[in-house]
Amino acid sequence: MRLENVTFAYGDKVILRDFTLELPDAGVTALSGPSGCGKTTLLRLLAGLETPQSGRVDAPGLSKTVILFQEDRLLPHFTAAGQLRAVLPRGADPLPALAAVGLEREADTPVEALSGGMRRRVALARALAAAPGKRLLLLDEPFTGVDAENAKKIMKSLRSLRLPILLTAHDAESLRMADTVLTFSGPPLREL
Amino acid sequence: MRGKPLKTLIRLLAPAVFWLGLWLLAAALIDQPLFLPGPGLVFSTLWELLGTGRFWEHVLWTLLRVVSGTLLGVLGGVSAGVLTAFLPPADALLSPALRVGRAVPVASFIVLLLLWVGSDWVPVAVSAMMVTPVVWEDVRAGLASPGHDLLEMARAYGMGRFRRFRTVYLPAALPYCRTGILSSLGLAWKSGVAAEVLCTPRRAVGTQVYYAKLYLETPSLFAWTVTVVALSLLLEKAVRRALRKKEGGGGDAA
Repeated sequence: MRLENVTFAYGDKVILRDFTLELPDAGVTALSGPSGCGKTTLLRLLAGLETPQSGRVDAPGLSKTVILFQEDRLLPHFTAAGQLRAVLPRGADPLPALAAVGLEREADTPVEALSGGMRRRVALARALAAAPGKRLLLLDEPFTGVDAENAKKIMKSLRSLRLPILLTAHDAESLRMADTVLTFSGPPLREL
Repeated sequence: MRGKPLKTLIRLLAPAVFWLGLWLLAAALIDQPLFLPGPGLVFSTLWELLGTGRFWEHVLWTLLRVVSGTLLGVLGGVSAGVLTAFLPPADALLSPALRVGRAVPVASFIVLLLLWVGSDWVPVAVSAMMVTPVVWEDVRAGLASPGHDLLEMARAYGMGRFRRFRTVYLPAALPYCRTGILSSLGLAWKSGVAAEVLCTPRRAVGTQVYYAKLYLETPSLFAWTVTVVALSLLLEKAVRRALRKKEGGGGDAA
């Protein structure tokens, strides 16, 4: 995966200017840096959710990528299992992915009744469920509100997918779980 | 513990007692049943009507017309809502027509329809025409309500059009649709009975209202009006309960 001379701005605010970066094609890579430096935009560009004003992004594309957004983006009024069924092929079982995040007992609980950390785990389970057949996993602050023990367990499940994983993180625990840590400052985004 | 049901009963009955008392007082002051019959006279007239087979026949036919009109209106409103929310040409074509339709006076509709369809069907058509724009507007607003974040999530997770409709749009639109249906029920009753008054079908509450007015039978007019109000409230309650049950069924359509 590679970004080459990429420039991207939201209106007048330049987030990436002539930015070039080579990313590992395997393992877990953590992107670290202060809030608002452009990490999320970088993930969105790699996912294909944003188009750069100039430059080139070499990545598998949206149909071959799973992205976990910074916000949970769960379907209101759906149960935990319902969130997964909404992205799984018809008839597929959502329980293995829920079990991987330790929420198999909450399968039939509406998401409104879950805690913030549990909702994050449901969003992670949805990403896990959607991962088979994909080539890239992008996780934007995946373990916000998730306790360390569950985060480790989930990371183990994520690694078992054998996909290149790119995640943004602020906390030391998440950074320790990564194989490579890239540190940035910005905007405009700059590798330190 | 025993005080609670009593308090609830008082809270429920107090407004009715107040308004009935006010009505009684006004009727006693005016003392002319032709202008304002008292509640006693009205309810005794209603009691007499209830004992006749004809009463139930009129009620049944009016109920049938209003319910059919409402169902047709809901069908039309939901279809128009879906079409105008997702198809720009349909929006360009239908939305102005529905807005104009909403502004046309009910009386004009009734007279026009009386020329086009038989008098038995005018109340059905009028009720439907009153319900359609209300439901359309609410369904359209509901379908426009899912935020960018959810729609982007649906796109990122490769949800097809049908699945996106079922999981993102439909749950968002249902509460709006429910509000639209409930708020249009009263309109359906008012317009349906008004159409019956003007078209005088053989078996209809509106026709009885018309005759009561014609023969200056004010207590009878009041009795039929009470009937319409009671029917409207009962139907609204039944629909509210049915819709709540449906909503309680959960959002896991996937």
